[in-house]
Amino acid sequence: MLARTAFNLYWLARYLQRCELTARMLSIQVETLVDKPIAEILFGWERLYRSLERDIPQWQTQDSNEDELPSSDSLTLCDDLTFSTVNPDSAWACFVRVRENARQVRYCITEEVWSSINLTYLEYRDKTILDVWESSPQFFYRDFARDIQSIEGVAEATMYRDDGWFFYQLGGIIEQAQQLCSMLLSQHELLLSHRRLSTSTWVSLLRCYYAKETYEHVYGMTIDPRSAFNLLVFDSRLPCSLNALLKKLQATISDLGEAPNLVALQQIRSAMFSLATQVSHISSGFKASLESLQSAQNIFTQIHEDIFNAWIGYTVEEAPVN
Amino acid sequence: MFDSDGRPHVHTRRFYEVLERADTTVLDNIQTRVSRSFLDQGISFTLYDDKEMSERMIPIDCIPRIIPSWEWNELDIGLTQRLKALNAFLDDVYHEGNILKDQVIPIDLVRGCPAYKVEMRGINIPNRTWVSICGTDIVRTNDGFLVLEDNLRVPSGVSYMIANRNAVKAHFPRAYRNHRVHEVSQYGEFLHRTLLEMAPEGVTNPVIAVLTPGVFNSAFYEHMFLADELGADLVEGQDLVIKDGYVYARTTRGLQKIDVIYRRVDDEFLDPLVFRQDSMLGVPGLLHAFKLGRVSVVNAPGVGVADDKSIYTYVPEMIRYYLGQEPKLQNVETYLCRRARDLEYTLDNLSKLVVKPVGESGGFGLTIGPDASPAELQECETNLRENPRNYISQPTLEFSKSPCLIDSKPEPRHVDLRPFILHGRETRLVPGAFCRVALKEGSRVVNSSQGGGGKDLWVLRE
Repeated sequence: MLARTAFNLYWLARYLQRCELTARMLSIQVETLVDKPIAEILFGWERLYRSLERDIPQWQTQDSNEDELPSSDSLTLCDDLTFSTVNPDSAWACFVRVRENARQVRYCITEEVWSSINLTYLEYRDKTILDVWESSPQFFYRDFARDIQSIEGVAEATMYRDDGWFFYQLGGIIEQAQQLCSMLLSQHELLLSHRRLSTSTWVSLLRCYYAKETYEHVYGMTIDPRSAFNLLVFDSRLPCSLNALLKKLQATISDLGEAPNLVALQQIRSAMFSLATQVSHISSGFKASLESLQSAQNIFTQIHEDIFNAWIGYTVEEAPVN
Repeated sequence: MFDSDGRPHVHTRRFYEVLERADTTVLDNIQTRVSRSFLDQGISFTLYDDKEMSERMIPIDCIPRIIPSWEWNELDIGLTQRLKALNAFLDDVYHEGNILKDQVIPIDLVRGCPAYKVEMRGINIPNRTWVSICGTDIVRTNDGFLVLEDNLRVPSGVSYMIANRNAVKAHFPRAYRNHRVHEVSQYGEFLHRTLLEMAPEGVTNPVIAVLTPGVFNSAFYEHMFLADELGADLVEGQDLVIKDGYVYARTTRGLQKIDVIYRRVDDEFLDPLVFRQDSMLGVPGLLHAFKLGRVSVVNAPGVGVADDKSIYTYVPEMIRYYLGQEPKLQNVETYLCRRARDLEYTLDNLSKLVVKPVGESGGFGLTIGPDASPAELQECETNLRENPRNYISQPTLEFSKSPCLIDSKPEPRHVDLRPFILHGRETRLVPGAFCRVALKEGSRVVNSSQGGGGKDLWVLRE
């Protein structure tokens, strides 16, 4: 497969994941606006912004009565994370890039994948935050996330399992893993100053990763932060746990086999070994967990760069000739 | 669709009855669904205006243009003859130049043409086929079919021919079946066979790639469509490298040798070492590999000299010179303003003529005398006097109209057609064409960049 095309597919999947997670998190966050305490709402916004490594836009609540959260603030934040063209990580900005990447590789994805992406684009392209706000924002985000999940499902069901598919997989895995590390780090850091919010924020976090029902089946109805953390990190039966993602990454790299740049490929293999070690250290105490999570996140970033070096940006001199 | 007495032609009578029976709501719904299907599929072209580019849908009219098989056969024979002569001309002017020595065509007209590439002289092309893909613009007048121009460089529109067909036949299924229309879906296979025939000598399993300027090019959808039809990679200049005189694509498995490049990049941008040095779209060293015979570039660089608007005038002479035949398809009467008497005639009849700059395409730079304002005519006259060599003129043609659904009812609009003729070792022509429509009332400009649209062309079986 053409290297540039493979990289387009990689980024298509990354943006798709980013967009879906943002929509999903917003869906859960706007629900809290209805009946949750202000502190929990603020916690949700801060966690969301921290996980995206973005500064929270200036809002009025700091100067106003703490018991009242002007809805205009939430609208501003929703707009920033949903439709903003200034924020490159807003859900819509990500989706536009999904479509742009798909447009460039249309001949390598199935007609069904392209149609799903294009029809979703057409459905949402004229919407504004006011349209969303005037109806029920949680339904909008839920539907948007569901439409993106449909695209992922169509891709899963129809795409040929060649290099293109593997790069599409890799993009999704790296994005999810980085996001999960980032989210868990944000959760940990914020809880240091908001200990009384612990349980409810873990519930919303589990929901972000489709893990609340699973948690209840496995651990019962009482939310224990350590158990929730274990589920999201170690339980490889949960498809988006860190361990499951690591296993998928190892399998996909193995499926891809050799790379034109063997040095970079060896670095990826070493990094995956190192990741497995880091993940196993995460449970050994709170401080160590944070450090290991941070370390795991850095390794994922390094793997992202090495994937580029191994298969895409290799030098002509070192490349095998077919 | 209609004869001079306003009655439907024999071959259009059946579809005319379909239109008569359908009420306006039904037709409107079909039109909406046909247009919507283009939008849903993202079949678009990119339009550049002064500041930005935008992705546009080409307007498609749901009423097909219908022509009988005997008319198509005439076109088939004429187009095949024409492409044969054009290829012979190109091989000649880049080798011996006999047609120039014999003064059939003025030597300065050819050698002075910006599209004539000195770098191509003496290069041997597989099968002596310089042009493998030709899109010829044709109109029908009271005198029969006339060739408006031969598009030899990177002719586009074939994807719309197929997309129009898929959209229209899905919405007129019964009429389509009853009319026994020739298929056009075999174009991809024909193109594939043509490109395989163009492989460099000694290559048994050639690898084909489609070279695009990139996603921002106006015809990017078509490039993607063609790569899909061919099962080939859609490459940009940055994806290709030259190593040991061969062309390779950068793949996830290393370097993959490429044998045939169907290029959709203009000559000037193909190779910065030979043509424009600032080109970011091309491949440094591509022409060298081409000269060594290690890769085929289709259509060959330098073919633009044969579709230059001045040279066009001489195509009938080429047919007589190379093939010893009379042209089966006629040109539009053309005045070369570089000739004093043609310039004088043009200036005297400016308000009746269409004046075209020789180096432009896409309908840009045209002055249509009957539609032009006094100021526009004055500007045209000034341009003609300043640089007469840059212009040709032609009579304003009364070419055929076809019904289009405008504001819920069929209205006549000017149409042309662009069939695509393929030639590797043999000639292949799909019985169909990209049929272009001037959707603005009274307009004769069918170009999509200037408000034109498309419609399906149904060529009926015998």
